[in-house]
Amino acid sequence: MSDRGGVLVPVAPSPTLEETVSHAVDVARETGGGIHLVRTVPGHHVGRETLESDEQVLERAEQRAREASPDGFPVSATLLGAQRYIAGPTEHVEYFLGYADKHDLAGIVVDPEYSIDATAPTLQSLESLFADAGFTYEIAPVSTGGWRPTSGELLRASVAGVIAFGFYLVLGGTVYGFLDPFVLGSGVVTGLIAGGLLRNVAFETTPSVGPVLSTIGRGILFVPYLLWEITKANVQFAYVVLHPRLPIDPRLDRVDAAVGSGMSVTAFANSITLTPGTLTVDAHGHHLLIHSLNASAQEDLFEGVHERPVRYLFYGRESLELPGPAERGDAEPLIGPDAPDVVEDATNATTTETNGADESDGGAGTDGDDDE
Amino acid sequence: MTLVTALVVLFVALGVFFTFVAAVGMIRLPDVYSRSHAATKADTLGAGFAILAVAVYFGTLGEVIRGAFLLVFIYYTNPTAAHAITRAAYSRGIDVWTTEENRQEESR
Repeated sequence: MSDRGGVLVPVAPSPTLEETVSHAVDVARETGGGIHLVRTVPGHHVGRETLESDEQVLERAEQRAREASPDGFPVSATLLGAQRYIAGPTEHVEYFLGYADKHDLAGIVVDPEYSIDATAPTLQSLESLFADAGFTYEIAPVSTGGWRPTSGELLRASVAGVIAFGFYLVLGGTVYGFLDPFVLGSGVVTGLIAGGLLRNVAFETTPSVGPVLSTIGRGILFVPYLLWEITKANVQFAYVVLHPRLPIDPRLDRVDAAVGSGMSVTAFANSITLTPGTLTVDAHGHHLLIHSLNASAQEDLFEGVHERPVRYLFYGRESLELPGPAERGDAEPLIGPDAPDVVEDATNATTTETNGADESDGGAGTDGDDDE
Repeated sequence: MTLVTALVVLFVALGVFFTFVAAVGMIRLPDVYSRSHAATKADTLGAGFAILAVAVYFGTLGEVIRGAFLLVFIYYTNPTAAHAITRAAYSRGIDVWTTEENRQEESR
């Protein structure tokens, strides 16, 4: 442990970023190493112009680090995950830990206001994940100036509140009448409570009018499509189940979804489960483990029949041109007729899958090195 | 028989049929993973048709809206529950039934 040095600072746009960086520089000097500023790119930024904002916040942190440290002090700034879809807080933490391991860092200094986009740190404690991995971590002792809601937070709270109020009104109004004073009054109270509590939970990003409206518009196309697919799935399923010889040929495959955030992975996984012959068994970030009942179901899956509508729903028309998982090399048979070797039991398959994930993380780490 | 009654009978019949298929699938399919297919797909559509029958029978806006909400919640929770069950099965190392394995057993 003694030859370890340097500290890692996860970078996110926050009012206390500069102070945290200054503190981290002091800590790094004590450990006898440099300061490593790392920004992980949220999955939904990939392939969009917003990557620029990630670079800017990293530059802001780097500039501060240089100001706060003596000349020649090693400062490095790295953007991780720009080529991959990072989904969920755990995967962000994996990237940080992978980086820290690789550079033999002594510890991690976390900005008290650090948050991965709108995903609330209250949902899952990043600190506990860092501590479990055996790194010393520290929350920078900076003055947060008390709690005050940011404009993004206020917007999210009001949108969540209005949605909750509308839902309440629909349920209550259809029974007691929409103008019933009790329904309206208790609805307002419910909306306020729901908005206040769920402001950081209900959304992954701060909603803005344009994208939300187009997502709703695409959703109106998506829902009938999904219902039709589900009906088709059931007719096929009824045929298979009621057939005297039960013509099934199950297999298990890994597919990496080309969708970024938790919400779109969830929609993808659920629509896989509801459509012809496929079932999501497990999900690690965007690595999904999928059980197919027969070969044609697997083919559809590999060609991206399920993925494309979900990508359309969340990212719009241009994402339809993305090739299917098989063509991208994001699909891998684990158990069944197409698997490279007959895997004896499912636990072996688990290790294969984890190795696959590690390789991709390593790849991202190499990308980071190029930036240094 | 009015049109409404006919529609209600049709939807209830379809609902019963798919729920029946789910039950048959539950019994006939070989392992926990393929049985989950039965529990998520046929079941979901069966419930969907039952709700549709209710909405048509009552025919009021309130019933239709609440039926739609019910449907949304079923469509969200059913795959999630199946996912939880199969995920637990998978992490406990329960084998995936394959035809290849089965044929080996038969030839033994």
